[in-house]
Amino acid sequence: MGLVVSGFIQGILTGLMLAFLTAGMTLIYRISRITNFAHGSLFVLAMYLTFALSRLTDINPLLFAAVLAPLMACLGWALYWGLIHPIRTRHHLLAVQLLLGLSFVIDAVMLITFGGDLQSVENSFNSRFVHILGTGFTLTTIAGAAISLVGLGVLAVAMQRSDFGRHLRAAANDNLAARLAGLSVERLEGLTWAIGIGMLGLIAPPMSSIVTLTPDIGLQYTVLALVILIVGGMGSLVGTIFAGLVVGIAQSLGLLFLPGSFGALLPYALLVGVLMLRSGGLAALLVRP
Amino acid sequence: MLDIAQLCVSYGKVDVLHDVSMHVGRNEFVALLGPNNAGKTTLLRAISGLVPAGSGSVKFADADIGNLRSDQIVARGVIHIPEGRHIFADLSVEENLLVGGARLKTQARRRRLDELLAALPLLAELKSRRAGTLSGGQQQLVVISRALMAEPRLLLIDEPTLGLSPVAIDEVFTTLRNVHSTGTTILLSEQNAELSLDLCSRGYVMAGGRIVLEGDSAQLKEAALGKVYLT
Repeated sequence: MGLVVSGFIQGILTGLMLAFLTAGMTLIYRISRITNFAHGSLFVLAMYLTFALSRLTDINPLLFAAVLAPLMACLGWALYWGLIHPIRTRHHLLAVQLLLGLSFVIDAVMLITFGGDLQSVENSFNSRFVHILGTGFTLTTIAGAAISLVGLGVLAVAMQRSDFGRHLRAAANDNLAARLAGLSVERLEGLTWAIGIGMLGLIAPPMSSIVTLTPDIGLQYTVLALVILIVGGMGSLVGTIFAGLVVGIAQSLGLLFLPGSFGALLPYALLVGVLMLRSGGLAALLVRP
Repeated sequence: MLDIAQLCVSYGKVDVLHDVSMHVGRNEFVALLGPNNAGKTTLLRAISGLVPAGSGSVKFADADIGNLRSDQIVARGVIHIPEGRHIFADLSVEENLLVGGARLKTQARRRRLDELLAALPLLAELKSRRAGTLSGGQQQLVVISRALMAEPRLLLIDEPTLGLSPVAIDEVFTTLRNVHSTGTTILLSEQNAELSLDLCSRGYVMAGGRIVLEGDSAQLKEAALGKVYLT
């Protein structure tokens, strides 16, 4: 019983981080109708940048978020204006192809720069524990989950209350009407790419101390985020949060109770299951934010 | 206020507008009549910057707006209400209006919203409703009010009564008459010639991408008798 509880809590903590990781992809999909197939590689890039910075100085790697978030946001902004904007009126598969290609380029650059060895970012928080219902979790995990929870909360409120959120929802709802209301939909899209990619700079520092880095794991994160995006109902922020939690819990309990690596397959089984029952994903059961 | 001279527009290799010239003066209420596919929608889209003007010129308040982006044209006070009730269905009525005033500062936008809600009690009643759940007539009212949020100097309206019940059509036309009486210039595209000529002082008739007739309402009504393209 204790194992189930601790697996469940671990799943929630991981799920929050996965939801935050995916939320950027969700926003981008919502306004641009483009699935960012480079999302995972950009995330791994941000983790390697954390790794690189951690070798330069002794301060806690979590603080690198202050540099990486704006840096990744600039990268997202540049990515939109440099690659996506010129082809936005063309067939959407062109963007998919371009972003997949970009993800391979990023992976190759990371391999050349950092080598193929397993790396991890050392963090003193890894040896400090917080006890929840009798199970100890590293302070890094708690910090990552807390950043995600606060980040998702801020994002959800901003989507409902701020001008930016209202304009983003309006443009996603009816692009033509948004233009005729005087919104610059292109600027709004650029800003969304900046926010969506910038968020990776916030979550990469804690995650890089939790997982083991190799340059080729980007695509795995893209696929995992894609599962959450689809299970969450393509474009719904609340759906993404729920799907992130469900996937996190499934993964964690699967690893505990299923033999070998079957546990890691559970999120994908979940995807198939949800799509067979509800093609609209979890959001079909929830109100769209 | 709006001066269009020899405007030509084409989609790819297909010419849609040929040599269109028209003038809309300050505080005028002008009708743009003609059957489907006459080019009325394209003309309005060219004015508001949704489709690029090929050759010719589009001037608003003596400034050339032919090469501006749609958001820049909105900033000058030219507001286009497109055909087919483009409402933000997932947003509340109030949010729809706030997006309409996107170019105003926060305080001015709130003030404008309060003014509109005070002037239209029905809208005040519906303000928290999800716009997608409203009836067609109510949605059209929201769309018109959303345009008014932007404090338009020139309002371009494309087929506002399409698919509405006779009662709703009456309401839309009453609203437009009130909007005009507060000093807004209006260019109204309508297939329903008789109704719109009651409202407007002057009109243009389009067919096949050209202006084929222009005149004041009485002249156009007379011409309408027996002319197929004015049904």
